[in-house]
Amino acid sequence: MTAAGRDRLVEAVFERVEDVRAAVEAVLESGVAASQVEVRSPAPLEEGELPLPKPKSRVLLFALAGAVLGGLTAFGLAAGTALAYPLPTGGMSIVAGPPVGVVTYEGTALGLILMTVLRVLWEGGLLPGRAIRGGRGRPSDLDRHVADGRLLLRLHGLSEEEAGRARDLCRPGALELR
Amino acid sequence: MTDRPQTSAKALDGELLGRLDRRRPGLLLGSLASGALVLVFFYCWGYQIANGIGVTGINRPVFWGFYIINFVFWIGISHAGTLISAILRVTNAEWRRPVTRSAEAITLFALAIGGLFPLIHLGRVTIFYYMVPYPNSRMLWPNFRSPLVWDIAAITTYIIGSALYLFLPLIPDAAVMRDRAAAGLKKRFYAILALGWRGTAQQWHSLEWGIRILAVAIIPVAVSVHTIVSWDFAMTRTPGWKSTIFGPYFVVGAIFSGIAVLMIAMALLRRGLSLERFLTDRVFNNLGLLFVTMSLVWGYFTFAEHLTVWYSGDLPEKMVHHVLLHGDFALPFWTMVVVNLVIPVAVLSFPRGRRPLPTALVGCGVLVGMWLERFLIVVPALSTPRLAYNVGDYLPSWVEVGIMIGAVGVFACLYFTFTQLLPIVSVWEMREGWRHAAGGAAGGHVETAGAAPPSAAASPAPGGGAA
Repeated sequence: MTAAGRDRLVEAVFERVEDVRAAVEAVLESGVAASQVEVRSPAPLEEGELPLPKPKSRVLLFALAGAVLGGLTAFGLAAGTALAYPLPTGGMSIVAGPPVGVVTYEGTALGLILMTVLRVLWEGGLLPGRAIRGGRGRPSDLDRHVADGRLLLRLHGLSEEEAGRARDLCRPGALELR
Repeated sequence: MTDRPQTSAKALDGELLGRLDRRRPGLLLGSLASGALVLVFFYCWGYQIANGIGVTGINRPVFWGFYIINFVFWIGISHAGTLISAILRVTNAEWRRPVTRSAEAITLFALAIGGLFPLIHLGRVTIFYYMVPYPNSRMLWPNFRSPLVWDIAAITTYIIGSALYLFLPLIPDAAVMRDRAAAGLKKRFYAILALGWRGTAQQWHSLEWGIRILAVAIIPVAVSVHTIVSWDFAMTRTPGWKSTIFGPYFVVGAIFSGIAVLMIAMALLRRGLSLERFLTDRVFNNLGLLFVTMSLVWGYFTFAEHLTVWYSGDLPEKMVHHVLLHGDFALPFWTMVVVNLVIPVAVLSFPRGRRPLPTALVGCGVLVGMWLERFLIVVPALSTPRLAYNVGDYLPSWVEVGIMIGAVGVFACLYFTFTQLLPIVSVWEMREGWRHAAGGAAGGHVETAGAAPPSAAASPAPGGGAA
């Protein structure tokens, strides 16, 4: 089987999480890889509700990096300005601690916030030109069901035979099947 | 809290979505009415730009007037949303779900208006960029030792943070609107906002991480903003301003006035959009308890502030203190005490007082009281002479009054427009809450935890009105 032959997509709409769970369990048992399974839900699902690997996120790491970067930039701006254009301070230090501290504090927070949001958008494939691998995140005609509070199960990269089998396995409990 | 109807999560979901799809003529009317005040705002500001800052009542020694009072007032109101929403998220308070979006929108719009007032106060607004750090031809960068520059740093951080904190949880709801809208301009608008959101596990996981981090990060930013605003006063040697407790005093006052706006906005939304089953009595009860707590904390800080001034015996300080308690400013001072402390405690201490109408009315009083508080901080300290020849009074001009009233219109217009375009109750957060309440089973039964009338509980789409 060539990669070109594995281009079938199966989509099924479910009302209840239990039905999606049963369908996912069945297709995984039939040999479909977890990486080929995508579930779209109207609200976040609890960990372990579906027999799929937990998604990974590096938002925290990037947030911390953003905080450091923002803090250093703000410190450089405030301290650098004081050094570049020194004002008469009557013998006190040119780079004053409290003002530089306040600006650094705000810069740290700003860096953290910006980097957090950018990373969330990056990981979710929400930045322009950043698509998620394997056809995930592509629009579907059935997305309206998710908007209405239902769940959409999508199985990507299946062969003709696998797709037929998957359709049979998803049928119980499915409101709509393609 | 008389009854707690058991309602299908599916029915509630349908009801909430039905609210989104419905036309809202009341909101449109509100937008138009407040739009008239927007014109007043820009006319007065334009008049001032054309004729100079001399058209205001600001003069020596009262060089800070309505503009700075309103700056502090609006920045205070901005603490309604992001801070309260973040605290409720961090503490995982389930009843937060219908409140957060409304609160976060208040923050963003109040902050935008608050941030305008220092620019208006500048007079020559076209040169405001002198305060922005950029290397110019004269090699002059801002003086970071000035608390006014700290203000810019703090408010910029807070407004960007608040905008993103509002936007991030809005993405899934924008996707809901996109997928439910018919093809056309509306659908394209929501598609831009939704950024291609599909509700995949990865998207939810990253979003939850992002919201969690922002909720934690935004709390110290919000606290720093009003602390720094207080330092605009406290870092001077002006009697009545130089106080070590001004930072926390301002933060407490900000949260207090913020909750007041939140109570009013929620009562209006509940009635106007028929959201009784989402903005339940329980939500008002809990926010009412928070409200009365903040009233008591505010009262404690006010007492501590005035007691230490009175006890110090410092003559210039006591002169300002005297005009506040017994002199020209006694009426606004005692009005402030009554509307900020006496009435809230008397009304909100009882469960009957923590219902939508009483809390909204108390909120209106608190807004007046908190505006008076800022007035009493700014004007008496400057108008009380410290030198025999440095005497002056302050009377605001029509331009200042026009800008102040117009600012309320700008806020209302922005808020109405937002409510018209986007879900003011977070759909996905409500859905998540219903799933939790129903033990994870979609379509299960949940407790709406409020006092929706039995007839409303039985009907799949109650309400009507201007929703």
